[in-house]
Amino acid sequence: MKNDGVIKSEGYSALFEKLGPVDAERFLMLLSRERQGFDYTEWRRNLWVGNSLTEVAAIAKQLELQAQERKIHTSNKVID
Amino acid sequence: MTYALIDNASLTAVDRATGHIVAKNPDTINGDLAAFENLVQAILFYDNLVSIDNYKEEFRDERAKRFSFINFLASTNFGLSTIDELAKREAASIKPEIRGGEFSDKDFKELVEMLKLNMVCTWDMRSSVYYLTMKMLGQPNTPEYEKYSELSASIFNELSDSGETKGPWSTNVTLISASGHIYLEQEFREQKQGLGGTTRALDMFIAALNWMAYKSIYYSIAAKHLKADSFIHPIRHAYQIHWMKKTGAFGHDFTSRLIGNLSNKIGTSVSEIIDHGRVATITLDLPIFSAWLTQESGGIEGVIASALELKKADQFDIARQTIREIKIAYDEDGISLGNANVLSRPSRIERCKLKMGFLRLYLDNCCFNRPYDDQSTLSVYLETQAKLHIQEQVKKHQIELVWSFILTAENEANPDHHIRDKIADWMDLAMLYVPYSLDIETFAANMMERNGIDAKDALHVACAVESGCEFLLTTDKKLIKRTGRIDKMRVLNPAHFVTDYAEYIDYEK
Repeated sequence: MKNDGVIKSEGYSALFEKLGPVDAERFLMLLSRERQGFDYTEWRRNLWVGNSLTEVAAIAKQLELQAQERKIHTSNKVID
Repeated sequence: MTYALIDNASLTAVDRATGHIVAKNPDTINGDLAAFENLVQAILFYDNLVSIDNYKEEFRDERAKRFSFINFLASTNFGLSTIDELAKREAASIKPEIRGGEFSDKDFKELVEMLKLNMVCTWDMRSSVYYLTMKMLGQPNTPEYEKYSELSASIFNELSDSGETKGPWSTNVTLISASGHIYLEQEFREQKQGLGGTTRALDMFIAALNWMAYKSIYYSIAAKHLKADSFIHPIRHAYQIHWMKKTGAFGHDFTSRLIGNLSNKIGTSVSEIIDHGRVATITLDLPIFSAWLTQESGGIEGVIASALELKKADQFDIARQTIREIKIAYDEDGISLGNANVLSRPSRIERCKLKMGFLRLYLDNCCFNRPYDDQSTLSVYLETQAKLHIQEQVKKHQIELVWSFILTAENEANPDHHIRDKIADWMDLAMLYVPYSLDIETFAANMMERNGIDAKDALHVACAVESGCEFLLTTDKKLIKRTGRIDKMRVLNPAHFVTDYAEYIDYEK
């Protein structure tokens, strides 16, 4: 496994190579601003909290279908 | 030191399975494979293998040479002659009795019921004489019929060990009519026409049952006497269970049960797939280790050599050491204190399973999102490190990852679509996908009521339990507090998991 220093160095290189110096810095800024104080474990506490088990199961089945369709769509796009 | 006592019937079965002896009846194959698996497990999980050298004299040397890794003990040494007398006395107290066509004595009645052998005896005419004939109920070419054939073949096979049909093993049967009349041998002799006693096949069957009872008892007592665990042929094991229940003689199959538990989970899942719906009494366990070694060594003939080689590996050394410690705890502290000691050890067994690459994990969405959370809190930082560490093992296929419909759904609801897509990629590395089912919903409903958790968490837990996961990892403290352990699965924080099991999931090793 690579150490933190190597990962940082390779990550920065990939980022700046792909986006260029200005957009790469903007990306880092966005990341740091958006994720500041965010905790997914806290965020999900209220997810579907007012729904019954049957309702949650139904939502889940619907979302699962949605995810599958998007995956097919994305892989088709790659093939195209 | 732990000892496994292997009976001669098992070694004969192994000889048949490996092709050293011709299998005369294909119906014995399942029993033979189960015996072969027993031997492989004994090699892997016991320090020493012993066998009592009471096999047919002309073949003894050849057998001892072929199984040179087993210590053969003379049947007259170590007080084994007394054990033999004791077993014979105990077996003689079993009086087979057939009343109205069915076994009515407590011993064989229970055994026949336990094995679900649907057999009856009817008076059938042959040369103007009625003979009591054994019949198996069931339609040919059905799974039930096949099962009876396998079971009766295994029972008949006992005779190849004894070489006697009439004689001490079958003369004692009492025949009683449905109305309660007890037939005497003399009545059969006097009647030229009418009832002619039992057929040879029934005689042989009873002789085989008697022989099986005697040998099962003999090996059970001998194992206890030698402080070993008994590994006897599966069909004898069925009788042993009955005899142990009857006499309360427990304690000589301790380690084999422990190993049974270790491989039980894999066995159950595989058998559910292969053998769905069929009551397979004779196929006591699936031959997990022998099947795997057959594949690894390229053929059944190389399995024993591979098992002896594998025995030297670290993980099996640890497994044997753990089993030894548990056994000592029982021997020294007795059942109740031993139990208390052993309760503090399951994590060690789980570690062995982990090191053996059997561990199955379920990570909930909190875990997958941890690296994207604000890392300024120490606990979040540590949980992220742990999650990354675990996923490295998943990528190396050292840990089995389970994915579910509820993971997909919750991920779909993730407010950040970029993160959602990256997390979704982990699904492709999962070994198992748990779809929605009514069983999962019912399990979840019970969880909600019993543990007071919300619907989505209950569905995650249900999917993890149903797919046979050893651990569900989450960063949600409330979920850990309310669940802890569900059935055999533990709900843990990823950082705790890595700390407790570090030495076994260290990918640098």
